Amino acid sequence: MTPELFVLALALLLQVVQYMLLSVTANLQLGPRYTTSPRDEHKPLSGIPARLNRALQNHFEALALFTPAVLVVTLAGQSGGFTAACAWAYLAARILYIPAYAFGWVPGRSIIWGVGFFATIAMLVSALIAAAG
Amino acid sequence: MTGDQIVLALCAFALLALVHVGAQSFALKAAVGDAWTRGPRDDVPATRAHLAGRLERALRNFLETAPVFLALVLATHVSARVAPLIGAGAAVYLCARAAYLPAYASGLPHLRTACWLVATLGLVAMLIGVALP
Repeated sequence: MTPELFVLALALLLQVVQYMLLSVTANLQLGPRYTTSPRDEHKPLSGIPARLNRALQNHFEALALFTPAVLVVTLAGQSGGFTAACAWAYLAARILYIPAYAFGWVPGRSIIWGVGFFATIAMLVSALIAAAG
Repeated sequence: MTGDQIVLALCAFALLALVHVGAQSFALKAAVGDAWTRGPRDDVPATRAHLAGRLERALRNFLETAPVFLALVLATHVSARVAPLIGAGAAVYLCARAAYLPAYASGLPHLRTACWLVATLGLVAMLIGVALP
């Protein structure tokens, strides 16, 4: 298993953690009677649970980019020190992104998002350059 | 699909994800201002009817299909299947999803739906190509 695939597996587990954070806080806010119902009546989340929900949705977007990037690096056989460092930087940024959103760090959240985003792009581009060279 | 074609398809997919996230992000900043997007986004602005709203819904729809495509590419790699139907289906999916974004942004009736249908048929073609002996 390449380090990038290992980090991808950890990123998926991070998604599980994010689901659990959202689930616990949303149930505390809206009550299990509503959350376990078919939710026909619209009760929007607010405050911290709503922020955790947006952080979760944002990680889905990030994963849609990180997953193919990891697959490219691995399938093209271009895994190396730099791509592994990029993958770890991505994971660190996505972990920090959760408190950044929950506690409303401005502009920290945007900067942290940028670190994860550009780490993904750098990993992909370096694999492409290495494959071409 | 050959190994090179798989890497090419994944890179095209990553680019497509990048364009979706970028378009939505910049349209939202244009609609509600940079300061709000950097904040914790607690009060929801009415962007549903704006270009930002359309690009947001286009991104959500793209993300719904993304796991299916990535799963089929992975299945193709693992099974080492080279049926032409798989490559053709992947090309159709990527092209139709690329057309879906401007189709949604344009607001023209039926065009967006047609793009969605073609892209989904591409996924079905891939599934048949991978699953059939």
